[in-house]
Amino acid sequence: MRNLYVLVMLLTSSIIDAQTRQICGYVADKNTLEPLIGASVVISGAGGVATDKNGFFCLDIPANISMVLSSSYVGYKTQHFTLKPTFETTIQLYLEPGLSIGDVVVTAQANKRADVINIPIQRLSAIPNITGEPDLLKALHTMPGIQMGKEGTSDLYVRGGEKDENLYLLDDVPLYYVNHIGGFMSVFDTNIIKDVTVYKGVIPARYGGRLSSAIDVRLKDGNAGEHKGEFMMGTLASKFYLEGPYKNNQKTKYLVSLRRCNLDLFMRPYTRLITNGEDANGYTFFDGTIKLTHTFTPKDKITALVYFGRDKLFFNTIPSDEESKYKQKINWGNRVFSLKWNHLFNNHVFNETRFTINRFFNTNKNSIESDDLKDKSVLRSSINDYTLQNQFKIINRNTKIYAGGGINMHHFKPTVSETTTTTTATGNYNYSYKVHTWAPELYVFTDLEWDLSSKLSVNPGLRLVYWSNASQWSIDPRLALNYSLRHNLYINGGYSYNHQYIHLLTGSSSGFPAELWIPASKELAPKTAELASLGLFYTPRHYTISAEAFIKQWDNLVVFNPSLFVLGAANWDKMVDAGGTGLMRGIEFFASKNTGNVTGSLAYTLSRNRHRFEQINNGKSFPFKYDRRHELTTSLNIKLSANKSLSFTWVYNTGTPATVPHQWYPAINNFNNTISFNEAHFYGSINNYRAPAYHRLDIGYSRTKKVRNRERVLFLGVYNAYNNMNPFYVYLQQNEGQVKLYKFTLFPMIPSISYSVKF
Amino acid sequence: MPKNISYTSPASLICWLVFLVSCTSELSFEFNDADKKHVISCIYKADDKLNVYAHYSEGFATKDASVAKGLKMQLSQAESDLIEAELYKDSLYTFGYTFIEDIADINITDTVSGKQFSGSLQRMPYVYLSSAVCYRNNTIYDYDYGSWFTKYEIELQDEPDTDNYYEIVLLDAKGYQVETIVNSPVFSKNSHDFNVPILFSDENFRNNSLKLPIYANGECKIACLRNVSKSYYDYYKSLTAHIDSQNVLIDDDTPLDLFFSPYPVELYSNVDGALGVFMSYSESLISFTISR
Repeated sequence: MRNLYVLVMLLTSSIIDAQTRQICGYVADKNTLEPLIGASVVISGAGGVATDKNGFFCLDIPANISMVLSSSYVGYKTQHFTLKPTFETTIQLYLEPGLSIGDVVVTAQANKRADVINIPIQRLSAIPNITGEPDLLKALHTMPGIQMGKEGTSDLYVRGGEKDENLYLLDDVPLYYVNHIGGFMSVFDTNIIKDVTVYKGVIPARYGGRLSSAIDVRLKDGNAGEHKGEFMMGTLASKFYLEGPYKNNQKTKYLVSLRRCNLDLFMRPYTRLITNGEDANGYTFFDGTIKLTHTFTPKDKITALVYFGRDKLFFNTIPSDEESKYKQKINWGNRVFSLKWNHLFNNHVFNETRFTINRFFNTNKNSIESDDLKDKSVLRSSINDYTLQNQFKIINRNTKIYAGGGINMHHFKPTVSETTTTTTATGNYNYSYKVHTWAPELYVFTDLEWDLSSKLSVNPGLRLVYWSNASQWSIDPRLALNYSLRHNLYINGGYSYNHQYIHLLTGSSSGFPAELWIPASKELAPKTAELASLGLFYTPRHYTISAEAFIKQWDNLVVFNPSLFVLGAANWDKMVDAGGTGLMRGIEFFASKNTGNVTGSLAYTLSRNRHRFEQINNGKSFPFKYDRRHELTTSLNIKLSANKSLSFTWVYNTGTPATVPHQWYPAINNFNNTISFNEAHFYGSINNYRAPAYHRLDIGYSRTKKVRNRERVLFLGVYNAYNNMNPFYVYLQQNEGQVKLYKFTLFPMIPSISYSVKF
Repeated sequence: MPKNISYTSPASLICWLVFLVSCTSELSFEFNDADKKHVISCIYKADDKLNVYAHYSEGFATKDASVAKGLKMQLSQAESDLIEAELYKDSLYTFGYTFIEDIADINITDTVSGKQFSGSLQRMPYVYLSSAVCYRNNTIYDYDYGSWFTKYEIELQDEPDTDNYYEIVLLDAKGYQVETIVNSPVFSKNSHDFNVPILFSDENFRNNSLKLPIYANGECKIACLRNVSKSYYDYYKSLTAHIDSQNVLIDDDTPLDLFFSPYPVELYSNVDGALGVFMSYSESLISFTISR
């Protein structure tokens, strides 16, 4: 700690320099006063920087001369400001919205690294989607190294990692579950998102706890200028949001967003109709976000965030004879509360203190009612996190230091079961069972972003974690290097080693929660990943081109083994096949044209990903379930006029692997002391089959119309425009005495439409 | 009986919605059925007949079972002469009532192809239950099964100084096996389901006694304790896992998704050169007493 203090002092000691002066400030939206993250601030001849998550920047400029400072951001008009040769230290820059969505694409520009992706949020609404809703996570599927799972779902598989290896942060609060409708929509409402940054390679130490990526989603603070809102009717969901100043006081801003899925409104009557009134089944979801921001002084800001999301699946059966009634209701989702205090000590030292509570829950309620029996049962699982964290950020001329630490009290409840049975014959019977454990996690971290010279910058980082449930300390180091070969050509290198102390088990057995998080323990080791990468990043005018090769190795991988599942068992660490290893090698290529009336991108990944478990495949390695040799995504956006745009996206992936039995044989059994035979399958090896390649073309058209103060946006989309019959799943079935392999196509050509009114 | 609804995932709802516009089609696929394998299996109950069953594996596309004939089987024990098996009917080769003192080796030759296979059997010593009690008035309702289960309790003293594996079977008055539910820490890697054997190792009560509550769907008269070999334990564990993880439901209307099924579990085998298993057990019986 003392050494760290000395280092900080040394690094900050060069703040005052006779030949240069430092200018710092904020960049914000001119109308809403919303800070802009990643906005470019450039002084001709003196270089440039991007604003941080608070819209803040600091820049060294020559002293005693007038200079012109330019600030730009996607979707905004570039602004120029003249800086007087006085010792001006803090300025506020306000940018005016100006360009339409056709002008921007997903880029990796701001960080000059191939493994960091910044997404201008305006881009999202230009990508057609099955549901007719813009979707953040599906937009990420268009980037190299980020794979989709099942078609149509939002799950991310980043550089071969499982879906539990992604850290999803909603305004710094981790979310455990990010899907609605089984993954066909994500929980992120694009209306209220301000900025998204994805780290898919070397993840900074301040984003700890996951192996493969950090997806940092920043929400808007709310409009400080006026009250604004939007109501939208989509194919599947309706949404409403409102933002503005509280009592016209620009110091306090609010933002409220609500969404509701409409499926149940017609599923319930539809199921009644087809079952002659016996069944009433359906699905819906509801989520909401409330954010309040109050600026006490220019140096102190407090933000409170509440997020709640719940998916609900329900089945009601009342037979026509009304002998018994059956009800089942399954709920799952997240609840989040966050309180954050940002304090600016001076233009060089920032502090952020936050307390967060986040909860992922899954509840399955059943009830049966008949003349002589009344039975109610509830099965719950949840994970609750209570986190207190403090983080400093220190900015100097050529260094940025992030340092902090915190405590996260994880409370795992894999199983809570309660049953009440009442019969006329035997009376009441109650049964309850609860399995839970606390797993406190202590952590400290530091990241250093250090420009050693005008050409070379290094980003070392270190995260130290104590996981009490396994009584284990771990040190996760990382290092990222960036060397400028010339003005706009960079070479990147990186290395990281990370631990992940929580595992996600997913299953489809009856009664098993869809997703079950369990902690690492003394018996179930944390999984680890080691990554090394080398890449090039080139940004000629209007374009971004990058290529990166990487190798990634996992240890202590875990897969759920349904045959070991014991309902209510305390020893969940024995329901898995553990100790697996993985190895992925890949090369990613990305090119984009970022400006002009015609923009577009091309992303390609060549990779090989294999796993190995002692318990599976006789200990031999086998392809990972999403091992796809080639993945290609191209997109083209054409700005037809000031308010009309057209977009095309074409996706090609190597087919998904699957395990197909090639032979069967009689397996001996002894029941009732009589020899019998079960049918056993001989597979040969795991994932021994490759499905046909997956490809599709999506087309989107958007038209924006302004009438008085209202903006109306019409979006027309066609998913899978040439109706390719991609396999959603493959299966075996007996037909005319022969077992054959079939594919099931769930998403042929699907048109979508959405209409929104902004007021 | 309640309507049994199996929850898979909310994604199935979307499947319902777009079912009308979705479709299925056949994929060209060749099952690798050229390399047929021998399947040789034996469950040896102490002091009972010694029978060995022999089959060939079959291509998955065809469902006709075929038996392996033309095999020559020889059993050898320490300080014993060789005993040869006879083909009794179809796939059954029998050594008849053959006393195995401790461990016996079985060598098999395919007289057509000349392939050699081998395995070994162990004579399991008898172990007895200390007590077996029926609690007639203590019942639970099993939601999945939709029926009432009565509580029984057995007590067992572990055989000292060895790794032991046990199986409990409850029998009704006619000697038929009764469906049971057990949830106990001794089942560290076993299912509690009513349709799988009550099979466990002594790792959680080594050298001690165990009182095990068992809930049964029906009236049980006899408790049967089997002292089983490790191969028996490993085989049945893998059989349950293998069936649970089979990613094919040929006869069901709901096909299983091969992309996202759990990894299939291969069936345990301890026969050199072939599929199948050699395993053994001994069995002791005790009548239940009724708790007052």
